[in-house]
Amino acid sequence: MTILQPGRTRPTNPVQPIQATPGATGPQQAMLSARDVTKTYQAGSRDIEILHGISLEVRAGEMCAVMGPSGSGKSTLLYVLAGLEEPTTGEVELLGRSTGRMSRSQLAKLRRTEVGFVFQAYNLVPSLTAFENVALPMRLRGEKPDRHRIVEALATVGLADHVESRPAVMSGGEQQRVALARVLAQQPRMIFADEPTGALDSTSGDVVLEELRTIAHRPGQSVLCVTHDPQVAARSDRVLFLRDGYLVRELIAPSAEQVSDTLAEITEAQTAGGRS
Amino acid sequence: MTATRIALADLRDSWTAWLSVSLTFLVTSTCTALGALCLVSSLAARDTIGKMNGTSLAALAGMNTIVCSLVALAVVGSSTGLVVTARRGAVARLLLAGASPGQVVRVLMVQLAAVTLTCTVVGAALAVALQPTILRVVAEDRDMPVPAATVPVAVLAGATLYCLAVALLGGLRQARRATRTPAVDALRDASDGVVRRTSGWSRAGRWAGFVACFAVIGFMLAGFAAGVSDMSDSDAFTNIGQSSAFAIPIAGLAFALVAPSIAGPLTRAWSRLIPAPGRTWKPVWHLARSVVGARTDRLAKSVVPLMFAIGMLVGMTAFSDSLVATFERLGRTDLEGTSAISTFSILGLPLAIAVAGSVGNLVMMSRQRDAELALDGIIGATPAQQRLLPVVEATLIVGTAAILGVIIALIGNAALVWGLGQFIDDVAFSVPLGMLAAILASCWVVTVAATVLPSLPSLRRPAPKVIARLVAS
Repeated sequence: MTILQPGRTRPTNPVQPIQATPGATGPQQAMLSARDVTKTYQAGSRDIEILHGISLEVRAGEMCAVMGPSGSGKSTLLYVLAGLEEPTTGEVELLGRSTGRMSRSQLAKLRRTEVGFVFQAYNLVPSLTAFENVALPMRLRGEKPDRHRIVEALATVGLADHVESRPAVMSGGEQQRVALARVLAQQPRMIFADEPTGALDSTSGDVVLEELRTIAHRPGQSVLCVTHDPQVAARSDRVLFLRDGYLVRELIAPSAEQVSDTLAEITEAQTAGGRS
Repeated sequence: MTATRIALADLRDSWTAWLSVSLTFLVTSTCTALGALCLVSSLAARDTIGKMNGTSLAALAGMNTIVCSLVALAVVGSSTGLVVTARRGAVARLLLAGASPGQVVRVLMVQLAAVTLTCTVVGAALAVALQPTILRVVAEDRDMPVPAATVPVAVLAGATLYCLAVALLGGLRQARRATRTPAVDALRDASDGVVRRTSGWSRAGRWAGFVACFAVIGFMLAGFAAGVSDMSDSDAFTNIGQSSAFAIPIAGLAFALVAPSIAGPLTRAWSRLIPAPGRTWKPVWHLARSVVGARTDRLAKSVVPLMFAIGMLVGMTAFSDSLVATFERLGRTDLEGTSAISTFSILGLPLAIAVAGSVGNLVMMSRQRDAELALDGIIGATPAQQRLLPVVEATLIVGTAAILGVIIALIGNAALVWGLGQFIDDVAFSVPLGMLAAILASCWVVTVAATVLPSLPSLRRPAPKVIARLVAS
């Protein structure tokens, strides 16, 4: 497998699905790996395959983005990789453990200790304050929340004044930053982010992205992020492109222009495929 | 025409929410119509079953009808409010699409009218079918001839119209309120499950209603005290018995009015006293307390019907026991109507409304609860913790309802003891602790079932899908 240099596009044929480069950004340990993952949903009497034989790897110290046109299967891939949905076939290894061989209880315990999530919407339990939402993984572990660590995490994302606020009185961006504070306080090894800046203004978006990058580049931690924003993808170490459920392209440390061009090309191909 | 078409299309989409409220409407209309029909049949049968018997049965049916009406006011009001609240997302989308507030109100009212009318018509038919059996059971329990069942259309229509009016008036207020919330805020509130606080005037009105209810109880008792010296013992017993029995649902109505203000603080206060040991139990107890305490509107709407059920059951059981004990002390054996069937003939119908309201409300809130449980799962709640959370939530609801229910039962019984004390020196007061435990256990089982069972299918589905469903709705 070719190890790519920053800014280089891996030569691929868009018609031919690719296997994402294992360890493309370095020799570190694999935090997450997927082998020939497919995901099929039933729609009425029809089976619809959303993901087709996806194989990829995310290594420690890496921030990896997944991009693709609407309906390409980005979010489904994220949920399958995070163990929130089961793959129909194939295998996912999260932090060295096969998610298919773990019970739901083991997966839950993994999520509250070593895996963190930031979504675009509905990140927070609406009836809990910002503090309580950040403290939730600790509470679920049966631990007394570390108040200092939680307040510090909220301060890091600029929400020191919202410790006792409930989600209802916060903007979408503030809610998303609370979710990020939860991740900062939890210090998980693997973070999954679904459109983490989707509801944010550019300043808040920068805060979130910088924090995610910092986390990803710490030893033994990494971030997998689904986004449609080329600016977000360009801040990642590696960008994977999905089209119609196939992994079709991979960019290493690309510029925003490269990401935009590639996305436009893939979107056009998907639209043309849909028309034909 | 447009409003009707939109309303019916939206109704098809949200049939689960409407199905839950339908249970409340159906039971309410059945019980109210049944009470009214039994009242008329008993009065009409006075020539055939005897004037005393007819009047006695008519009084029983009349009391049932009045208590049903009072309970229906609180229970149907909260169910209607809940179903309109559950449709906030749809209301916001209609407003964003350019519908005027008037059009949105019409859409909601058409939906409400369609569901309520269907339920009240079916309820009226059920009442007609059940009437002969109810009359026979009650008459046989009292060793009376069974009155013939009559079905005056005007009475049936009156009962149906009452239920329809209660639901529609409650719905109209909620629908107008829903259109006053800016559409974007409503969309966010819908996915957050937030209910905006009522205005200061509304809160003041509720507390004024609370005071007015107790003023009514005070007037009833004062009227009794003023006239007791002119009454025979038998009349005095009947009078104070009826006044005290009415005091229970009136006190219930008073607490139902202020439940949004008091249910949250009360729950937080009593649940703080319960220890929560264990790695599974402690986080669940803490989380459930936080969720229930923060969602005061949802809590109040769950607590109110249950409070009525507990208050009436405990109140009337204590009532019977106190009367029996007092008669025993007096050496009298002529007390009638203390059997289980007698108690249920007084309470059965309003109780059915309260239980149906409680179950319907809890089921209706399940979508928001499902999304919260899914989010807890994503953050790391184990499946055992996810299953335990609604059980604990149900326990908190029953606990608060039990405290309020026992208070309203005590108010009715205090009125009885005070009233009896006006013409008897040696009044006994009995608290049926065994029955209280059995009632609370039954309410807990029903509430847990209504809270947990609707959530089980969602717990088996992938969490992102459950959350997406809430956000989409």
